[in-house]
Amino acid sequence: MTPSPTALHSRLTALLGAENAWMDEPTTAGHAVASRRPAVVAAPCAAEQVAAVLELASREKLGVVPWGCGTQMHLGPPPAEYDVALSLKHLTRVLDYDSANLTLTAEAGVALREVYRLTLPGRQFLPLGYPGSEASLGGLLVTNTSGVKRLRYGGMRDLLLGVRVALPEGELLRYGGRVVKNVAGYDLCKLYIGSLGAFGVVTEATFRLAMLPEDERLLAVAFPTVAQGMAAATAVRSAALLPSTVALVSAAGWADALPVGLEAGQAALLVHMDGSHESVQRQLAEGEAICTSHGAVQAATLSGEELLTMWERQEVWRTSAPDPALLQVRVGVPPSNVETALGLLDEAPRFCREPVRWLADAGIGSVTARLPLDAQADDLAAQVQAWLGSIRARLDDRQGFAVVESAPETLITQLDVWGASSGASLLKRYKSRFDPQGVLNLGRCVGGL
Amino acid sequence: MDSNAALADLEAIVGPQRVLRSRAERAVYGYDASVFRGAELLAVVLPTTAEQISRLVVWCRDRGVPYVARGTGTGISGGAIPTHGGVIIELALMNQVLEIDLANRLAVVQPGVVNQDLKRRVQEHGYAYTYVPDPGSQVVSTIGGNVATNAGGMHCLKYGITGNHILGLEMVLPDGDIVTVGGKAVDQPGADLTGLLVGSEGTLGIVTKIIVRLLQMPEAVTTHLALFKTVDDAANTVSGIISCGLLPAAMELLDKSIMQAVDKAVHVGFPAEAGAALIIELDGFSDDMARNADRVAEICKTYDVIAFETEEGIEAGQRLWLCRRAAFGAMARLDTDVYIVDGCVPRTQLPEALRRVTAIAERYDLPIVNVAHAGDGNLHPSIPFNRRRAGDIERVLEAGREILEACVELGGSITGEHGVGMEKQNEMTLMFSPIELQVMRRIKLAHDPDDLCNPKKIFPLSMLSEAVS
Ligand SMILES: Cc1cc2nc3c(=O)[nH]c(=O)nc-3n(C[C@H](O)[C@H](O)[C@H](O)COP(=O)(O)OP(=O)(O)OC[C@H]3O[C@@H](n4cnc5c(N)ncnc54)[C@H](O)[C@@H]3O)c2cc1C
Ligand SMILES: Cc1cc2nc3c(=O)[nH]c(=O)nc-3n(C[C@H](O)[C@H](O)[C@H](O)COP(=O)(O)OP(=O)(O)OC[C@H]3O[C@@H](n4cnc5c(N)ncnc54)[C@H](O)[C@@H]3O)c2cc1C
Repeated sequence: MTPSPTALHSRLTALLGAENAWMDEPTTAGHAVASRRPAVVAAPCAAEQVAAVLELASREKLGVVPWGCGTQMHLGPPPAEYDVALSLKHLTRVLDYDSANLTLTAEAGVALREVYRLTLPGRQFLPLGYPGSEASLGGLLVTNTSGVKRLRYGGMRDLLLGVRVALPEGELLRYGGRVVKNVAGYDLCKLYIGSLGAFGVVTEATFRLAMLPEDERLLAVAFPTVAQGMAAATAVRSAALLPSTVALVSAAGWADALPVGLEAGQAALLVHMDGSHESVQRQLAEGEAICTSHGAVQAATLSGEELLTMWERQEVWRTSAPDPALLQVRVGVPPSNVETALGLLDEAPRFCREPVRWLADAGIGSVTARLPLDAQADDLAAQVQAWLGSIRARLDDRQGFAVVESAPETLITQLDVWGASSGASLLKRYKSRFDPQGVLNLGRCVGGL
Repeated sequence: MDSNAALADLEAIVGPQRVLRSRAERAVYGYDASVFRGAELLAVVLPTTAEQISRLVVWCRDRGVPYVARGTGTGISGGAIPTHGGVIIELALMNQVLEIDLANRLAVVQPGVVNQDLKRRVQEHGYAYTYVPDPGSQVVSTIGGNVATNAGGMHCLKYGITGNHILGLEMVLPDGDIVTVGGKAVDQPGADLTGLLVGSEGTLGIVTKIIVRLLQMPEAVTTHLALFKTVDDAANTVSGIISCGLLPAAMELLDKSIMQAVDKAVHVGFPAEAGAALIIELDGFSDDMARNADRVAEICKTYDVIAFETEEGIEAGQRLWLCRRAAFGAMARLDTDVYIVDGCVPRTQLPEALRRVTAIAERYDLPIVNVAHAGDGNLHPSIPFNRRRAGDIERVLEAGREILEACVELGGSITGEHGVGMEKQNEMTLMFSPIELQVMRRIKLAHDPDDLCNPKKIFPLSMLSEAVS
């Protein structure tokens, strides 16, 4: 029997203090996921308290949903059980910044921008996101979010060194550590990357940092067609350059933030270079020559503030809250199949009222696409599900996949958000041993966990 | 069990020539490159497909027979030792490079492919790409073994360890299921299972296919050999180089004792006052090389370098690398055996860690020599000994344990790259609480509830003897 909200609130108050547990209407409404609201919002002040809340939840068979900074709570289907919103907003201490060893340990609720603020004076950074990012370190970790410069600096799995986690049954544990080479036992840190909290709440994490480059510049080039832009991207990748990003943007995307103008059907290639002044200059020159020979219509270079602002606009576009009129999907493919993936997406399905807008990381093989929905369309959910099924089948032939990143609630509950995953059988086995009661983020994660 | 019937079953699965059963053959597979030996085996089988392996593990499960996957047995922590007998599943025949896909900078290989052979095959394409991970054993060890141990090497500082180069795996689970994790597309939805299964030392299943990342070869390379009076000077140089923003491809340290041994073996002619050597490899754009090399030379001067040599290009650099590459051979000349410790500390703690190693060497009266992947803080104190001399092995293992305790105290790990295997099972308690180990064990039990797949490894023996469910 689930305790009444009042009873639950008083138990949580006893654990956390009255100032850290709420059941009032505005607070619970503020922690709604889709239209589901928690009975109580709890904000522990320490990892031990996170563990205590979970221990209570598993004893009482409650549904708990962790909240980092709350920027991506729409990811995944709404929770099947939702009694407690576990807010990590008080877990905001940076525990250790070891600049000589290029590592940083911080609590899960620390916003990425705090890390930038702390490390930039020493010319170091954590290569995820952009300097103004409000996302929490824990949220980035469990959503497996890597930065735009992943091609050069590695992704989450390359940068994470250690975690402290609170398990659904209340155990508080550390895995990994602070050293870059550590093969003692199974690398359980990796279980938390992309887990969406299915196996525990991350309370603390250690990352390796990188040194800021001496110089960085972005070459933005407009092409008359996507195919030409793609051919240039491939040529840039095959040349003796070491770009940090090679991305392609459709005319309909956040193109207004670009230093080159785009018309319908055109695409812009973005090549970001990090390095010494000399090497950046040389790469820019070679990059531009390649683009010219592939039919570029316009080129511009960005640096400094302007460059940061452009990436910020891009990320805001990509991560903004769900819009009832949009469906956002992420497609992953081997880089050589990006063009095919864009072709699939550009065959705008009937339920789209405008052209699909996309941003393709051609170096990594990841495409974010936004489909403006036609609310008038008959049987929208069935149409979208059928479309998803068909692009998944075609991507499957090319070793790719598609996931729904955001959709209006009426739609998301009827969609297969994650699609089939070959690892799902293993994830299910782990879930039954890590969270037998189904306390954490139930029903939200890959494999229906 | 009727062993003739068992052997007939195994032959039916893999074919008659692919079951080794003679006493000598079975005895040989009781060893790997560690100091341990295993129990008597039923047989050694050489499957050629994942389906055969699936049938083998199901056969083993149905009869309660333990089995151990084996690459080329170069592991030094006893990972491939059949501690409980049973069957060795040797992957030597699964040695095909299935695909080299340069457009996507990846290759798909079977687990028995030897690391160096993959590099050679990639280079045969005439393109400027390579598979980077380079454990010292690369000419013989297999990619499957490298994946299972998450092997390191000389170039981890800039390029990371094996796991950073693995995009996906096919694995036969102990119940016979064949699963694929990761793939040619990165960031598949859900937890990073590839990352979790890499480094599981053959205890969660048998890896039957591997997708590896290939990287562009650097445009230019320079190699530098710097000699210092003290280990501290060399180690401070390493930290100095990194804090000025340079990221060398490799930084390897040798202390005086190993320099003397190397000198005897390959006659380098180190000056008498040299107490430490540092090999630094820089790579990148040719435009940057001269300036970066100058900065390295400057920093070396700050720490009173006594000699500094430079070579340009990979080929020429081999001359300077020789003293590092000759180190293991040189150790072998010091006594009949050598025990290699594999601790890791935060880079800036390396001088302190090496001081403690010296103190431990004196206390145990052991002639410890040191090489270290200094950029990573990964130290390999190596202890020459003779396994036939009474008491030697015990003393060596005891000293090794103390070194690992020191590494953990300094904020590090009991193993940077060689793995736990059977060697460091009991040292796992230095890093993990009982509950942390129990939770880690949930992963093992989720894969292998009967504990037949490379059984009784990694976890402390005290824990394994308790009834676990
Ligand atoms: C495709 C894509 C690309 C993105 N790229 C970037 C980028 O480059 N840079 C950037 O800054 N942001 C990026 N984001 C946004 C980024 O993923 C989110 O901002 C961030 O992951 C969420 O942080 P948050 O603190 O707001 O998490 P929340 O929205 O609070 O939580 C997200 C999910 O994680 C769970 N969760 C949160 N914290 C924990 C925890 N500590 N333990 C267990 N579970 C937890 C929640 O229950 C929820 O399911 C991207 C998002 C997407 C979808
Ligand atoms: C001279 C020398 C130098 C070395 N230098 C280094 C170094 O620089 N860095 C480093 O990290 N290591 C080094 N090693 C250690 C060793 O070479 C590595 O651990 C290597 O990865 C082992 O590969 P292998 O094919 O020999 O595996 P094996 O020794 O046969 O097996 C090692 C482990 O992997 C498991 N395994 C093997 N294949 C599979 C498979 N297909 N599926 C599942 N499990 C499997 C085995 O069960 C065992 O637990 C060195 C060893 C020597 C002798």
